[in-house]
Amino acid sequence: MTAVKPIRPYQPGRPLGKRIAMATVVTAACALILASAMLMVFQFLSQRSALVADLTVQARIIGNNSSAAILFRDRAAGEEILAGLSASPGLQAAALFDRYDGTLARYERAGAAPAALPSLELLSQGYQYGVGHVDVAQPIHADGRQVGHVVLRASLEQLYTRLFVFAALTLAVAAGSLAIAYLLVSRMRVEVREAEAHLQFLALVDPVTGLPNRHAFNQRLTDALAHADHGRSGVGLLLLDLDNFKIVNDTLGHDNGDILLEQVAQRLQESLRETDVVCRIGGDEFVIIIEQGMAPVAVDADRVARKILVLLAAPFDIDGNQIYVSASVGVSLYPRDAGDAQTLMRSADTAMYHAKSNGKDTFEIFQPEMHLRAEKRMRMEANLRRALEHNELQLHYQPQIELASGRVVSVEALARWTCNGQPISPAEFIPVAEESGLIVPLGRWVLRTACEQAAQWREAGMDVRMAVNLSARQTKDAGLMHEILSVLDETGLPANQLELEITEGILMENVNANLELMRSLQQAGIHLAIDDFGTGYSSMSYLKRFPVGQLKIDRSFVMGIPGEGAAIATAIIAMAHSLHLTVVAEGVETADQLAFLREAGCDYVQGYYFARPMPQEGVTAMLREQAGNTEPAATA
Amino acid sequence: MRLRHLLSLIAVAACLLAAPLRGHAQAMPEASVKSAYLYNFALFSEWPDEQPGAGVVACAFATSGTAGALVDLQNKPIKGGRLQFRTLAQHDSVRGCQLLFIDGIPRERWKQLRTEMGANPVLTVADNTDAQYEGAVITLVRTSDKIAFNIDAAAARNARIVLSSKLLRLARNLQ
Repeated sequence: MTAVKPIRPYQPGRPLGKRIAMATVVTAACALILASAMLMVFQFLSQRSALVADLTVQARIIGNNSSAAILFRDRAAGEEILAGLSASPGLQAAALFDRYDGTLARYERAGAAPAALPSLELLSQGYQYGVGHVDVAQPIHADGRQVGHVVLRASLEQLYTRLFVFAALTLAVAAGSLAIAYLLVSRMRVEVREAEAHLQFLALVDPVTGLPNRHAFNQRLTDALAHADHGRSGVGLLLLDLDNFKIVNDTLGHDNGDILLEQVAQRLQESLRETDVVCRIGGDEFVIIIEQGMAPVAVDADRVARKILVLLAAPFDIDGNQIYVSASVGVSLYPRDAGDAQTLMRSADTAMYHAKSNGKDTFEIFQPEMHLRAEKRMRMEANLRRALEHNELQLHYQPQIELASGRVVSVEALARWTCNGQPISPAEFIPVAEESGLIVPLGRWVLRTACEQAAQWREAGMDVRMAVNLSARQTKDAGLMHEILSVLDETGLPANQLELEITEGILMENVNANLELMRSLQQAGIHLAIDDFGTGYSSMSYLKRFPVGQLKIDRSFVMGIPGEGAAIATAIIAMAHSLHLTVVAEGVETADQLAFLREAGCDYVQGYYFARPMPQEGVTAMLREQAGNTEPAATA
Repeated sequence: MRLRHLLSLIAVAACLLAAPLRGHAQAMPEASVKSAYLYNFALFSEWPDEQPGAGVVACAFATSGTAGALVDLQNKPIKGGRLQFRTLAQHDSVRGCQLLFIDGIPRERWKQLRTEMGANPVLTVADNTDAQYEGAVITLVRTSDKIAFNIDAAAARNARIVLSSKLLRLARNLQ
């Protein structure tokens, strides 16, 4: 992938991954603290109860052992019994009381307060909690009678110490596990962040060229316009469409098409300043956003457009092939041409369209009239639709003359349209029909009308071949073959009386599909001719494979006779003949041209020199005359 | 006269009430201490033919200095029954006595009684605070500040009387 300008990622705030990680760790910490606290309380309560249970057992044992000492009031024996408690480290003090609450014996650990006479509550409950100690009292029985009681006092210090150690351990474990969790979550976050970045990249970058894609472009353009509004400056938008990318794609394959796009992207980037942005927004469509620098943005846009055309003019090396690519560029300026991104884009599109119709490999800066022209086209489309519905179109026929005999051997059917009394050139309405899809009903109508006319002439004994042009849209119509056959069937015109003309450009657009169509047309017996030959990119090998019978030299070469067109015409004729193809020269207007073509061996000619396109009556008269007169009309 | 009687009763009651509050054995009369000891000995001893709830029969000679205090033991609850106290004349038979307090009789009579009782289960308690009786199971002696007792384990064994370990540990002397 080529060097990519850093993409400013679109972020609505803090990345999701980081927020999730924080939330996870904080939640875990809270849960751990709560759990630890509950565990501590539970530990404290249960250990304290255990302590009381232990003390109670001890008190019972002492009570049991000391009943005799109490009864005999043997202080020494009582103290001896209590002295055994010194082995119990938590025990602070103990005392034996007789039946009359007299103290028989006491035991105190050094520094500890003596055990006090038990309260009624302590006696009834058996134990009583203080802040730092717990008291336990047990009655002493002898022969079933209570003879006194024993009181033990134990410090809770040991319990607190143990609890503190437990708390410290719990906290240490909690902190340790939190640290581990944080590490894991962090690592996961890094992975999530990488995934996010990758998703951002996929969402915003065109994988073929590494340029920002349409989505990123929309964002960038919005930003640029906002920036321009803020700084009271302008933005230039260049819409660039490669003129013949489809041919490269079809002939060299998609992989090479991608390589070409990559190289184009590289050249575009080289031609731009740091602040300019180039994006690929579609198959072979690029846009360049130019932010205003020192100069007015119109100057920069103009300069960049020129520079791009120059840069793209150099051949591209694709898979060892030298490929020439040109581009049509439409330029629109903000805020001059549009008030928002969408309109700006439409304006650039309109300008680009004009560049294309102005012969490609050029650039056009948007003018408000372009919109007017677009409106005019829309009006024309509406009118054309109505004209088709009301059958307001006519067919004119231009004869083709065989040079050898001087006879009219075929006519080319040409649509004519008079709208509101105003004749409209096919060069104007045919592209409109092509774009709007009206070419399909129009083509159907032309084919049927032309075939009907040819059949009529044939019935009248005037055999003439009918040449009909096929549009690009028609060649892509799967029903075309069926339609042609049914028209021939209905009109009764023999297939070999019909000739279909396909321009070289259309033919090469989709070679394989067209090859199939042409083979089936040929099998049906229909003649095929390549129109406008010499203007497209025909490969000689294809020419051999196409089942065509005729080439029509483009009128531009004929108009160049005498002059540079002469050599090309001669070459085409020679090549066609060697491939066993016949040749028609279009647009023959002068005797000089005729003489040259005759000399060069051209088979047929067509042009104003002989006859303009004319309504069927004119052709009928011409054919009648030809039938009655054996002398060639052409030489008259 | 009547008033004086009442006053002395109050004084006695006050003394009785005050005594447990003070809680000192030394403050009690020696006879009462010995009497309480005797009761406690009965409590911590076990006779071979002991019946639950039957109580204990304790005997003392009328000539004993403690006999007056011992009368108070009569009907005191013990081991689910009551203590029966019998006052004996010097030559009365000791048959039926489970606990025999040896005091106020000549040593010869004591020797005679020992032969007479043989191995009968009688817990003999000799008061040696003023006299010298030998061979009793328990012997009361006077120490500097209180009355203590010695135990003759062989004599106890001979009489088949089991003394509680609690009692044994209180003995000043254990033979």
